[in-house]
Amino acid sequence: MTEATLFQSRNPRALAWLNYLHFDGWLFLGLLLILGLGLTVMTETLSHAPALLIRHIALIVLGLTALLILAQLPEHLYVGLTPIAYVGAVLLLAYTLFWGDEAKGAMRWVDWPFVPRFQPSEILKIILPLSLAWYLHDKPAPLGIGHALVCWVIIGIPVGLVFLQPDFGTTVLVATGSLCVVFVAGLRWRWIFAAVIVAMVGFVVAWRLFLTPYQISRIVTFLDPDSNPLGAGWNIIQSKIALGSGGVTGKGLGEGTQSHLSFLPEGHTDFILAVIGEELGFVGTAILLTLFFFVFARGMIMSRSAASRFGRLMSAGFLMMFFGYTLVNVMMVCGLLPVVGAPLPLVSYGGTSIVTMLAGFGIVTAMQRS
Amino acid sequence: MTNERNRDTHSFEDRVLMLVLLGFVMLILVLTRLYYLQIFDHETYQTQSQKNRIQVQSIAPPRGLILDTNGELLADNRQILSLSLIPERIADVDAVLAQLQQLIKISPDDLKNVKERIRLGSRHAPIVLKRDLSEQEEALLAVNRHQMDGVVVTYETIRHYFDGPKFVHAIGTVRRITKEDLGDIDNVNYRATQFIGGTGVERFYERSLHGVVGSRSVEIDASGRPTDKQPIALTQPERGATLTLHIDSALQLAADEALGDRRGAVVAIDPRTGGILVMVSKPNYDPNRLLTGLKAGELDELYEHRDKPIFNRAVQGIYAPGSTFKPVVGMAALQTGVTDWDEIIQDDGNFRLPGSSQVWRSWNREGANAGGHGEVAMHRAIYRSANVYFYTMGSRLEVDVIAKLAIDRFGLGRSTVFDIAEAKVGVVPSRAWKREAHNEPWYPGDSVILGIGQGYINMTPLQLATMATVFANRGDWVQPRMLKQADRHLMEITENPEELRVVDTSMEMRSHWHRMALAMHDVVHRGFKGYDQNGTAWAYIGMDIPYTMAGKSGTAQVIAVEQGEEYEEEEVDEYERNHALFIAFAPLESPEIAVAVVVENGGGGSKFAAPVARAVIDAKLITQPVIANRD
Repeated sequence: MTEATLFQSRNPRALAWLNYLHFDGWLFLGLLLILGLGLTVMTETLSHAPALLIRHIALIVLGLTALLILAQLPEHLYVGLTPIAYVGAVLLLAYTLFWGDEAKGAMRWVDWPFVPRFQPSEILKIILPLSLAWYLHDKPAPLGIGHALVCWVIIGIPVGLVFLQPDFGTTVLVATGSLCVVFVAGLRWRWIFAAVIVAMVGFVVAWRLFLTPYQISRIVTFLDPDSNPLGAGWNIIQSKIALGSGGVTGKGLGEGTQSHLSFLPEGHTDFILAVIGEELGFVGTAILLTLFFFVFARGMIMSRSAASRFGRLMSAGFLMMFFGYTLVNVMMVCGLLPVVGAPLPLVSYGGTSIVTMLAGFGIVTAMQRS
Repeated sequence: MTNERNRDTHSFEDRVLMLVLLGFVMLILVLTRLYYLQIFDHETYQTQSQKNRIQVQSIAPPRGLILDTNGELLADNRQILSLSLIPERIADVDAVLAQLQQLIKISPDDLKNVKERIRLGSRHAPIVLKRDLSEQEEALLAVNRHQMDGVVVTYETIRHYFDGPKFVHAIGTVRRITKEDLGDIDNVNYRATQFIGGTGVERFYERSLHGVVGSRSVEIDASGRPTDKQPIALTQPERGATLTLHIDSALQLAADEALGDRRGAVVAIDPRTGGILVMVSKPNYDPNRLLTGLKAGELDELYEHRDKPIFNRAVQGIYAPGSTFKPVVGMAALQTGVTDWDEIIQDDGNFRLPGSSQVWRSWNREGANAGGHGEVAMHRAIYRSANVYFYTMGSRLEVDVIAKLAIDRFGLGRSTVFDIAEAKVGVVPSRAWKREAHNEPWYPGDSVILGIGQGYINMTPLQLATMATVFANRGDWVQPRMLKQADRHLMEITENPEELRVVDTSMEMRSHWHRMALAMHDVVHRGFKGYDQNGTAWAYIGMDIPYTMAGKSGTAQVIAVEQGEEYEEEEVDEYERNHALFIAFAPLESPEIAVAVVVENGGGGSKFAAPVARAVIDAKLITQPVIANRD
């Protein structure tokens, strides 16, 4: 299954070049279906802003190109480049903190000439699985507490910088996804249980000491959106109305009143699922989520057949990032989690996220090469 | 090594499987949640989504029309264009205002006002900068508006009064609804309404004129702005009732012209129906300008002007009736038998109560018969307006008898008008009234001057006209009214025929009424008999009248003249001169019109007020529109 068996043609010569292209057909098909469904809804949602739509499409093309290129590179190249990439990412995050672009009270963006404005914290979705895989690839299971603590440091430095931006959502998501690498690398169960307890205590402490009023207000609002229906609760209320009013089959493409009349803010970014739910109904959301799970499951299965421990850990870690983001976004949109800034991977508008995700799948594919 | 690797792979595969299973559980959880939201609770959210996007806008009903007796329009509605600013769409208010000032004239007051309201008011509601734009201004704005975001031209329907100043006191006006009104009005029906009846007919028939509010459901976006789509539902508003008044435009204009620039009032009533044909009060003002926004200074001037243009003298001005009251006193004397038509009173120019040193004088101290009228009976006492005769009657009559007649028969001292809410009631003094109002007993002297319509008694021009109506009808009182008919049942009124007319059935009084009418006829028509034998008004209006008219002049003192002093018209301040009054009806035999005229500080009634009354009656009886008849 590692070669493009799916695309084997009755006329082998016509598609012969595909045999030289290394990629996974099932994974690629799943990704294309998600991208297609997302783009269909996005076209209607951004019909008033063709410039944004063109940018979105261009970045999808860029991401797919990155996927196909990264999939062709040899594993040892990734092993060799990972430490440099890690140091580079930490420096970039530090740079962002001091000289980045401010948006909505946080330093999250970097705006360099000749490069699209991007969010450095997004690349941690790839860099951290790579770095942890790099550190753990020669440490066989079961892992002791010592290695786990080193992993904590590897995670802690960049994630701490993200926390300072501040970006609470990315902090939690990236840290959690990274810990999954440590988990699949074979950390002893006793330390896992210990970590869960520490995490719970840490959460209470963070709540008391570190969270900004803005973050607390988001969490409180999540617990009772009607307490502030025109302020922070607005998103959750309007998002649930959008989903709920969609019904089984939805109002039809482009007919979503919640998004087209601006009741649903950020309809093309974090809350795109609510737009899909409104316009395509439960059928649309269920199909989309099933596709996400399909890609996740396919990726996890691929990780088991990766050529090396480095590849296995990297792949599983990245896929946990991918599906973790997906779940958190979906739960946020349907009111099961507070509103944290988590885009829906591959669908939400936002270039850095799409390119990073597709690039990540390219690396996962590359890990299959022996 | 291989063993170790296998163990590692085994552990890895187990844990990956666990994560995939966990992912699957989460997927099921999320799908369950979505199922609950999108299918189980669909109805709830569907409703909320509709509520989000659909806004019910109220549509103000067109206000009912007001027509005169011949169907001519007195009040309708017109659309004006107003220039408004929407603060949330304007970044730099000062810059936009400066830009606008180059296009159209904006007064500094309006400018200051608008800046203040932008500072205090809501950000997305339009704030009116200038009302009633001219076509030229509209064109200028239309060309330049695209450069100025947040500057909008809006339509507004406002009341329009034809010949506004000349009819303003007859039909009243609307005014803008204020915060104070909100507790009194039907908030649903008035949701889109900006104006409410303020005075006169507009006020009395407000509920009928207003109509029923309509509504339109439109789709709005999150900021509350309507989208371009057609309304989802539409209920047309129901136009207010069309009212036809008794007011006769031709007569109203004649009265207005005859009164000219003088302060005063004219009221004319059709004695057969009680319909008010004319209601003029001067000075007046232009209600249309009041609605489209006067400049700040002008409004103050209107309210603070010494001549009170906003004040409706016809129904709210209170005047002593003076000698116009003498026929009433005469009727009281005849009714109670304290005199008859033949009794002669010696009038030497002065009147004294027995045992009193105070002297009441006749009105004509100077001139040909400064020594009084000599031998005077009732008939001559009326046409010569002999004071001493009526001092005597006043002193003979019990005050409460006069009061009873004035109130019951003439409708004085109470509000009898059918449909003018703000009409004043005036005063008909009685013993009880004086005790109540002044905490004093009734003195014989009070009765003496009541005999010539002075002292405590006072009434509105409308009541004077009603008084004339009773004489015209030979004792029958008809309720004065503005409304002639309406295109539907009006909720303000219930017609009770018994209250509309009070007939004097006494056969004995009938002849007194007729003889009184004849005496009043002589006020106007008795001429060429020598100065002291002519009617008081004959020289001024009676010489060339082509119809029969009855009248009575009156001159009401504004300042009290001290004992032994003379009233010199030339020497007193204009505002302290006597008021000139005249009541009249015509034709004598079957009256079609009864008129009351008050000219403030005019001087003598016959000279100054009678010509106005004649002008109105002329317009009614002579200047009828010629209708071509080709049979």
